[in-house]
Amino acid sequence: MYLYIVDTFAQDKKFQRDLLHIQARVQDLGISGRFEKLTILKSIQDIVHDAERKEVKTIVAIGNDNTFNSIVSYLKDNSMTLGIIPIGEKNNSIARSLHIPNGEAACAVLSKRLIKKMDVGKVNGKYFFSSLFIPASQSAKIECDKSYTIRTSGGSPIRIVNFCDNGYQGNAQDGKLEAVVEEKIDKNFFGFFGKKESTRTSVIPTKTISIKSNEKSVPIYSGNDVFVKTPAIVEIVPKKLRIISGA
Amino acid sequence: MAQLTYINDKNMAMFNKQDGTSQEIETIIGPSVTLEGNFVGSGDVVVEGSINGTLKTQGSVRVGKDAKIKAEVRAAQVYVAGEIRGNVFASSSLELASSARVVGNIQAKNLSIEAGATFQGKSSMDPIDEDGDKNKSSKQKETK
Repeated sequence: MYLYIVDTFAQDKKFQRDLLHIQARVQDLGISGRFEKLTILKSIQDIVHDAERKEVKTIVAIGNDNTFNSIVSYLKDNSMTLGIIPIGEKNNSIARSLHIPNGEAACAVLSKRLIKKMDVGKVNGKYFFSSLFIPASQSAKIECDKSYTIRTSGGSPIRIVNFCDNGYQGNAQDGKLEAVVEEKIDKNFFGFFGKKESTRTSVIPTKTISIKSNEKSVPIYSGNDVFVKTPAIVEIVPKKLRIISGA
Repeated sequence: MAQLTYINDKNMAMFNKQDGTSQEIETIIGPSVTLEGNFVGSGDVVVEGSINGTLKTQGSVRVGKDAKIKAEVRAAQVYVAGEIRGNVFASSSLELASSARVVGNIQAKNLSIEAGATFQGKSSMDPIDEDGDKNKSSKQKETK
């Protein structure tokens, strides 16, 4: 049984036609199911927990990266299969990386059910798929694999990537997370061409990350939302999720 | 001497924007980053920042011009253009570029030191195994 979770933004007038086409197409392809629309009164958390109780086999996010990541974060039972039908042009890097086209065309990919077992990150007991973001903080102490610490001059922000984030593509099948530090460097060309900014990126693969802060708690974000606060233990759970991929 | 291959800093090998399929893990320690402790990797490691402790990998290590390492380094291939204070063990090859500054003992199967490099320590070309240890025959020789 399929459950389609339609994000609030995907219920907007400009996507109504897309939504109707998707509903018709899944019917044609024999993968029809219940369509649950997110509202103020109906949260992703309630829908996912209800789906787990009813032993739904496949949950499909109709929305963007945030929709998919939210579903993953509320999963308790990871035996169900996840899919995504991307809507709109923004914030769809998960679907792009999984070779899933936008809108109605994604239905054909879902119906083929090419399932990949993928890693998922876990922080303080909560799952995340794409990445976490730790804002620039002088007080955050980051220890990897219980054997070394990472320190950044100027307290640059750190991303912990499982699959994809901010244009970067991690590998969710390697059993590792990547700590990614981006450092912006100002390049002054001969003084009169103005400053040009470039980025130097550090990438450190690791299996566990402990984040502590000496002073008050530092927030750790998933997407735009505060996901957890320090102290936090981040770990990788290899091949825990079953995700429908286009290739 | 074996040819060293390096990954391009700008186009990090692990970040393939086209697909998320499995690739060899690469580690890049940028100029603003300091690692303290024992780092054990499996792929290639590029160091442009600082490391204090130990650095061990089965792949190759590239130490950039501005990198500062106070650590024992063990890898298959090591290329040094920056500073290392500590012993260096390379099971395959070790190359010191003209800008290299090494204080410590070095051991490698193949060794190349470019004019201009500074090196204080003992050098040895005894073969060592993948873990950076001297091979059994060398160990036996030592015990005799």
